[in-house]
Amino acid sequence: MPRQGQSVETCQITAWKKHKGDPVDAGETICEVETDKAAFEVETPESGVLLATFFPEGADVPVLTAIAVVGAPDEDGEDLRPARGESPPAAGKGATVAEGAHAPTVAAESDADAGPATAPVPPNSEGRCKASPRALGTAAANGIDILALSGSGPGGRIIERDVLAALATASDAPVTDVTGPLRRSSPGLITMTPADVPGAPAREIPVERIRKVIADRMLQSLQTTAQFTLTGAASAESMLAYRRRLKGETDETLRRITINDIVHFAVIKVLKEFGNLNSLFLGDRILQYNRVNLGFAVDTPRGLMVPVISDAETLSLRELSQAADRLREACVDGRAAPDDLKGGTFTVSNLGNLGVEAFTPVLNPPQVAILGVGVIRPRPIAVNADTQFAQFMSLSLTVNHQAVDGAPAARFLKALSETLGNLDGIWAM
Amino acid sequence: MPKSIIIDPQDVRQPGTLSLSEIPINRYKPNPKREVKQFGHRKLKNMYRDMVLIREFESMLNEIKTQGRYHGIEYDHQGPAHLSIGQEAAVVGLCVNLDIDDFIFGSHRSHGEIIAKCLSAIDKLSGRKLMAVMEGYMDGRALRIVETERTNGAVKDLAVDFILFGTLAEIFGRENGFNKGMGGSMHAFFAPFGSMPNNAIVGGSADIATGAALFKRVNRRPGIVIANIGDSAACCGPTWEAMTFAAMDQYRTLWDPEIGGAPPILFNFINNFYGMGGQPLGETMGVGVLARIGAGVNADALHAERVDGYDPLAVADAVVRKRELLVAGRGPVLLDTVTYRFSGHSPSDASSYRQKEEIELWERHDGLTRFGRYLAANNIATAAALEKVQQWAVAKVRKSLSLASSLTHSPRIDTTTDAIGELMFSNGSVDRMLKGKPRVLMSKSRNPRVQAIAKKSRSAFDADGEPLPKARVVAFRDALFEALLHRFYKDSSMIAYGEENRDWGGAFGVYRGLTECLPYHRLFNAPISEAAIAGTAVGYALAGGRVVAELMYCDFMGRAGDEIFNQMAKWQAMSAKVLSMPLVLRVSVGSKYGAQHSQDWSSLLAHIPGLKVMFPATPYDAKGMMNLALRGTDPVVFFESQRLYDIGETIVEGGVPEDYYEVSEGEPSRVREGQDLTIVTIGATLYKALEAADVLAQSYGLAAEVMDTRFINPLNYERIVDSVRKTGKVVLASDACERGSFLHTMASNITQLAFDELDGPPVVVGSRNWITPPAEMESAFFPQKEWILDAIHERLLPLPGHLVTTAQATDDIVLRNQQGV
Repeated sequence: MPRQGQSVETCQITAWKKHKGDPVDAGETICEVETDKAAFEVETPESGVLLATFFPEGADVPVLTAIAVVGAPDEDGEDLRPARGESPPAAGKGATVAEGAHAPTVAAESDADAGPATAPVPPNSEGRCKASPRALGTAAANGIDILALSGSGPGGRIIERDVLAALATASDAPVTDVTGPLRRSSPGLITMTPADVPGAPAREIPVERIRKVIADRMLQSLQTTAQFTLTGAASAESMLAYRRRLKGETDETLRRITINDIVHFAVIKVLKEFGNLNSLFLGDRILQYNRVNLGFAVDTPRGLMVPVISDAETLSLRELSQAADRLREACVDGRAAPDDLKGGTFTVSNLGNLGVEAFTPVLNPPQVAILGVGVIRPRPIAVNADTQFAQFMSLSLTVNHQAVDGAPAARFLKALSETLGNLDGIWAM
Repeated sequence: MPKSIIIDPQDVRQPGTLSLSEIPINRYKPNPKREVKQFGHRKLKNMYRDMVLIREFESMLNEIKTQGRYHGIEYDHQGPAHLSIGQEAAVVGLCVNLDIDDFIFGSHRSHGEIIAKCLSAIDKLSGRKLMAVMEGYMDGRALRIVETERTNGAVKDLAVDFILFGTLAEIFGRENGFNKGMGGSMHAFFAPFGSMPNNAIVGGSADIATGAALFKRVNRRPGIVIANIGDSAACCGPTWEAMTFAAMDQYRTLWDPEIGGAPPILFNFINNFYGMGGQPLGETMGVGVLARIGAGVNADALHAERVDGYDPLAVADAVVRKRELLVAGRGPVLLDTVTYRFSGHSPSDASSYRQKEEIELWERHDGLTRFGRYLAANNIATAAALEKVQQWAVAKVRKSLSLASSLTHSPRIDTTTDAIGELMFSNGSVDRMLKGKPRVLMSKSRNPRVQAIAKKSRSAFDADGEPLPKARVVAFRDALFEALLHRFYKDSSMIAYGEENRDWGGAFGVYRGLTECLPYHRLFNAPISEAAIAGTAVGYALAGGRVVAELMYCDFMGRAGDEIFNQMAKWQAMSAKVLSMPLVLRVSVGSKYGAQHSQDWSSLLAHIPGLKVMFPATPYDAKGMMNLALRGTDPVVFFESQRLYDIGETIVEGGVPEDYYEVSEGEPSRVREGQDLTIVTIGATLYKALEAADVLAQSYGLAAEVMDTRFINPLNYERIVDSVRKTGKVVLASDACERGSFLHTMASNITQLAFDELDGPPVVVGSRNWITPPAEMESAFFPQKEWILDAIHERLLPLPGHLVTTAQATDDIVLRNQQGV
């Protein structure tokens, strides 16, 4: 099982493309595998006969474990079968021990008064929760959800002080704590269980892999940050005109530039002046960046993915468009490398093509801002005494109030609207 | 060094020729008439009997090892059996004229010596005394076994059974053996009859026996001491060190004549011409006649002579003559006792290194057969009587085998309990190892050092808490001095020696003031012979005296490796606590003197079972721990950091108490209280940890708890674990090199004892795995305050705004280990 990126511990075999006894050529795909972030094809490095496969489809296999043997027809590959200890269930548990061990705790203790915690480094970005035994014990004793915490210890380890900080935040909160309504056992609130829904469900879908990551990250985002959303709108006339012009170009790469690419380009340019939004919030400090690693949301068959265009401020519009295309396709095909999905400093999410007017994008901590792009629609505008219609794009900017106040966020949104509203200026930026 | 001895260039630059003393070779002239008169028929017959019994005993073991049976008794003996078939005349001749008070120490091939010495003692003791010894020995455990098959009423006959059984049960590793089976074949001995420890290390007995002789001399105990060592021991360094130590001029030039001269030690080389398969004569040495080496040691040539060990009467004659010299304090003596073993080195030895013809030549000279013929020829015993002796010996040996091989009669020690663990330490607390008034030269109050200390502050600070100049405080070295002085004035048996111990006052001034109040025999300069310093101290202690030996630098322990690791550490348990080891080995840990003078090897000692290892870091602990060590009965390696000798007490309020006190054994001390993290140190690193704790408090608002381990073994982890449970974080630091450091043992134990409370892995900060560089570069080698802070920041608790200046992250662990540094 090849290692698909530095932090990958296990991969799931999704389909065998070759079977025992099949002849294979070097470079041919023998199976497809998937991590919690992306799907890959595993190729045989040598030609020969597939002598044995060691794991069924669906098995979660530690990386660098033998999964199949290719050899001469008269050879037997069974002697290379991994020992029992390396079998997928055990290894799978070992690799995700923190999740397995603490999921029940979270469920059982989520009634408790778990307040939001400071959020320096995302803990579960690799699907693992690194926490000291002491932090685990303190969290359990105080009803703190360890998975919602971020670690300030070496290598992002959650240590006792992270739990204590969370606890302090929780207990410092005023009596009219916003977490109040979250207390499911509070009088007047009814706790609902599946048993309350008559009949069997149509489908039962395990929450795992990408879904699990999304579930954890989004919950953590909402629980551990003070996010709020500003909405606005930008005139889209200039963008649409420019886009029409590009459509007429002979160069395919220019024709492929989309409105979304133009929005990305504008965001990157405007962020140059707004380092406070191109930042990471680490609880005790805020890191501002000059470089822009732009994340953008992609809807894939597996769920939401956010690939990152690194050093996007160095790219031309065309290069930006090409990079986005490549990443989007990789995500949809499940081929994105884990390293393509890390390190974002600002995120753009576009639901406009699905007709959404405006929405509240959910932050991707420790990033401090995310831009939601809505539909382009004609809006009435007053021109002298006349009412005319012009195309407008709605914009929603969610920021973490822990790091960014309303006014600077509004100024960013205004600058972005103006840039998008008249693209002529962008080429000078 | 003594001022009284002038080295005059006129003398030492004189031309001349050195003539060596003559060394007699096999000069004994047999004379049956004289011999019968001298020994009497009974004694001569007994000598034959003893030789036959030893031969039968060893032959039985040979059959057991090679065939698994002897006269119908089957037994599988898994352990060693180094047999002395052929050497009986040498050992019976040696022992016949020895007193019970005379000690013999031996080698791995010493079954015959045990039997010969004990039979000699049985012959000299009354029945009542014999019964008292047998009944008193380990609650009569061995006696009760042999009594079950008592064949007649004679106590002496019973005593023979007792000796054979006790030795054989020991060889077979049984609990009713002489040492509960803990010594086995190579270490068996029976002290009440003067058969002292036999040693599996070649030459190992040379310095130990010398120390026992020193004990006899210093404490004016009767008897001489014999080191029975093989011819190959003549090429072992420690043997030479022992001979040099035993031959020091000072016994006659400087010591009070009343003490009686040199230690009564006889180095008896039982020369069977083989060291395993190597032949010292003609192959592995160049000395020719082994007795020649005496000429290299002193002007008396150690009164050396070669004796024919195939004639028991020749050996007996030599021993009597040499014994007189030794008792008169004119030793040491060397005997080159020629003999031969028909059996191999061990049962695994196919004798591929010698010709069968050679064995046959020696069999024609066989001392046992010839002595039988001598008895018959001189009408001392008839052939029939001799044959009866042979039958008697078979019956005796068979009986002892039947009892010793039976698990019913002779069970092994219960290894499902911690019975062996209970034998490791004697854990005594004894004010005086010997009765009697300690010999001193003045009252304590007149001692100049005592008077000087009286003028100093007991604490490092004045009444206002301001630091005092070092010259005005009771320093670490003063604290040690007070502890030593206390015990010197209580325990008459206590002596101390090492390099530069007397006039110099110890290389680091600990003994200053002792020269004035102690006679030479209680405090003297040893030769620069670390093996002999440690080895003689082992012998002195196991003979019953308290001794403080000093190695000037920790690095010199390598020179005394066997003596510390195999002898000092092991004899209490190998003897099943028949022996105690009230020996404190002071070891100074250096700095500033580079790669061979600046190493903290406390971790090496931690690895050796059987040693107590102490390492105080404050004057208070230095005195309290030295007091503890000097009242104990166990071997203690007592580490002292040279960085600390001049410091005053900065931690314990009130400073170093004037009165006697002891620090509780094994208890680490909490030097500073805190709740945010724990720093545990060994040795002088304590002060670096305190500096780090200051920075943590001032710059990061963190309260570090600082603990000084003090004791490496035994060590009570409770306080440390309590602290770590409280703080969740622990850094361990010492001057020992990181790889294999005892700190890693502690870290592992802490992890296991407090895992659920840990907020990070225990972090070890040790010295680099390098040579110690010269003084100017030491801060790159020994742990510094910054290392501790950086390690905390990188591995345990990132410190906001902390600027890292040293490499303490985990990144380098793999790389450094790959590189072996």
